[in-house]
Amino acid sequence: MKLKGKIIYPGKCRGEILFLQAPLSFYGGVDPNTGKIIQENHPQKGKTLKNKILVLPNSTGSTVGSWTILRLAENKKGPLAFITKNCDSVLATGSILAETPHLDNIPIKQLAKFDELALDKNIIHFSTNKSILPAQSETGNPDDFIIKLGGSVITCKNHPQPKVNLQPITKIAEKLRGTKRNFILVHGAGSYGHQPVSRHNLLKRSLTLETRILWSKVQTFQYQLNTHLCNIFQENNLPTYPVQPSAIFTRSKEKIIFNSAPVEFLLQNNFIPVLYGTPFFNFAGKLDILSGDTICLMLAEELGFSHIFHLTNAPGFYLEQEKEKTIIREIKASQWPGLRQQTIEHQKTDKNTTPDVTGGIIGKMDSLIKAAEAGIESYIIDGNNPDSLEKILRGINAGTRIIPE
Amino acid sequence: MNKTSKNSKFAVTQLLQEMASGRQGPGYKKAFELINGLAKVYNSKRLIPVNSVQISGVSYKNIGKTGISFLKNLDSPQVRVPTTLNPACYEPFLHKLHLNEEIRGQKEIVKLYSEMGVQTSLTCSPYFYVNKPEYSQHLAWAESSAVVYANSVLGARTNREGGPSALAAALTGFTPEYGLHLTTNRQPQVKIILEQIPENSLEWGLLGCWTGINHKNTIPLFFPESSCSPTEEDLQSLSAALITWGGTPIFHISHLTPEADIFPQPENSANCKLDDLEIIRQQISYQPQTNDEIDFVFLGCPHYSTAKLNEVFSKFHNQNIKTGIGGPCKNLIGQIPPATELAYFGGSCIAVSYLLPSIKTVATNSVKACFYLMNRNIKTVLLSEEECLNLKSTVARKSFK
Repeated sequence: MKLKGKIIYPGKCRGEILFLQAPLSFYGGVDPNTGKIIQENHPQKGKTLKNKILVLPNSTGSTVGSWTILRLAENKKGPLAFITKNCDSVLATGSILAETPHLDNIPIKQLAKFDELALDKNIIHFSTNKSILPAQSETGNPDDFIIKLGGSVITCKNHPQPKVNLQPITKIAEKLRGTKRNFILVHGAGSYGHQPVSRHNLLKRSLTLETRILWSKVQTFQYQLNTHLCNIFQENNLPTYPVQPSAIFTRSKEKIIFNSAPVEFLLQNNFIPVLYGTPFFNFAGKLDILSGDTICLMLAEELGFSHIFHLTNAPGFYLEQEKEKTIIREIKASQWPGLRQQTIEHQKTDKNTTPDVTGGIIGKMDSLIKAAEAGIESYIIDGNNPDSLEKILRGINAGTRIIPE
Repeated sequence: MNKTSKNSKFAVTQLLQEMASGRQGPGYKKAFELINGLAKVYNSKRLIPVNSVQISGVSYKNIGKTGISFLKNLDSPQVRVPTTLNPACYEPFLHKLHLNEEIRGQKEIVKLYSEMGVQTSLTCSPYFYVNKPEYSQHLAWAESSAVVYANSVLGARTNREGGPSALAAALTGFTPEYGLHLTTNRQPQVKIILEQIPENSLEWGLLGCWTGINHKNTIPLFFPESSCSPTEEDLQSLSAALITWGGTPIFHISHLTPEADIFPQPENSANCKLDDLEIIRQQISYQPQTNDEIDFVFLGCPHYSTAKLNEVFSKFHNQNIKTGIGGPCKNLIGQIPPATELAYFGGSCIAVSYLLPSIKTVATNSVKACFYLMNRNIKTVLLSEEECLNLKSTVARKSFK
């Protein structure tokens, strides 16, 4: 279960609840050296605030109470977080001074019978089953994210003709059904793109009428795949709204630029924008492929998204040695050059590689490392296993996490 | 909207954004976080500029080392509006108690504020000395008695700020618009009919206490049944007691205070007589036994005006009992007669000071001081100012009526 509140001081944590049945006067009511409640007649007198998530209606008493909250924090006897119903200025000032996470406007009675909760940004999670609460050490519970649906998940990638794979799309849509969080969907092309482009060697051919027809077909294929995907999401009550990337992404002299306004407008009005890898003119003025990974990176940077979830047909980034696959749980930007070399070596000896005109796992990882360097966390998870998506939405690493340092 | 105001609004937004981002330094960032956090708590629609700020949280006894390191970490940002300071600990007592760390700490706190451009007025009555607000001006004041005086007697508009939020308003120049900044929240909620008029500032203080206890957090409209002309000190005493005992930050007196007659009269009403005030006095004042000795007399809480101070100084002869008189730091008043030099609590206040262990029983005319001293287990006897000054015998009388 979860509740949304108003952030007074941001942060995330997980811990045991101390539920106060009455308002507390911090000045005179709490011993700043021990963290114990000493307020006469307080129902929780004698309990200690240290390392608890303090749930209370509000505070009372002197404005010096704000300093008491700061003193508690300095003495390491203060609570991990405050959760209030109707916060007052003394407590708000205290939590901001002490830099202790604080959520207000929470119907606290609902929390009375729980022992533990997790807080992240404006959301608190609580459950009688502690194991499903997000773990404190991991990413927390991202409020905004971009989901990249790999072409290998949503299509039969090796199929010579465009062929959609409806089952995983349906399962993913079902997992996302009912979510209130802000997100964008970006999908790959799979057999709707890579096969036709590589079969006709389009990237290397000059623009003749024949190749122009082929390029146009490739763009049209994306419409078809996008339509399948959006239909399934819409059947699950998710307002997926297609945005054609080649209409908003253009080239300037040295870099790709794009007009983010349509996507922002959709997000502001609670639509789910859906974009996809597609042909477009690159900065050299040549027809090229704008990959879904690049779109994710640019959207996250421009619109301030903090997380990208890559749903692929592998349970994470792995190294293969003697047919033994080892998933790497966490990759730091500095570790990538070494891992990149190892992957290249392996791909040379592997003959089962599927054509990928955007560079396959190496191209993907390169853009994720760029994202990490821009402060955006990425996860590579198994798109065929819907539980991985559920875990990642709760802030649990269910694959490979890519972070700056 | 004309071009200039659009530009200035833009400049303000940009300034606040710069503060929020931390580009202006840690002090402005924390200040912005506080202002923004309070705006969220109270669902303020906007921030409004303030004309002046009064900062509390000056006494080392109240904010201690924690306060010093907090102020230091701000890294000397400068206040953007005229800002004044509440009283500090009384230094001669610190010396007598050999509290060297506290002496250093208290000096450092005042210095840190001064480095931020705060005027070290050290008074809880800034409206008498440094900064008399005008009608309808918006302020961010933290001293509770001054908040009530400014709202009620002067018709200025301020919420009861805490020390940090007042400092944040001084650094940003803004406060969130909520509470008493909005006219609707200033309406009287209970009519208190004064069948008799209090006769001195102790009785006005008792009226504040009686109203505060019986009508907690409820804005009173006092309705005198006969002519009524309280002095500034009477109104100050009422202000201090009302918020100390009832948490109420504003009052109105019909035909006297500036906003009293602009609102409809409240439907709820109550009557108050001098006997009610005497009952309250007996409830909160320590009732001295025949053998009890008064160790200390304290006047000037909140700080007296210059005129009142001079009046008290002139009456101050051959005092048998040690006395303290609260007022601002010495440079804000004229000469202090040598006889009273020792008694003058310049820039400090008994409520926020470390007290000598010999002070066990105190007489005062301040209903506010009574609250704070009582909570420190000091036997506090409430007497009028005249009685306080004429206490020749160490044996207190049972009743002043």
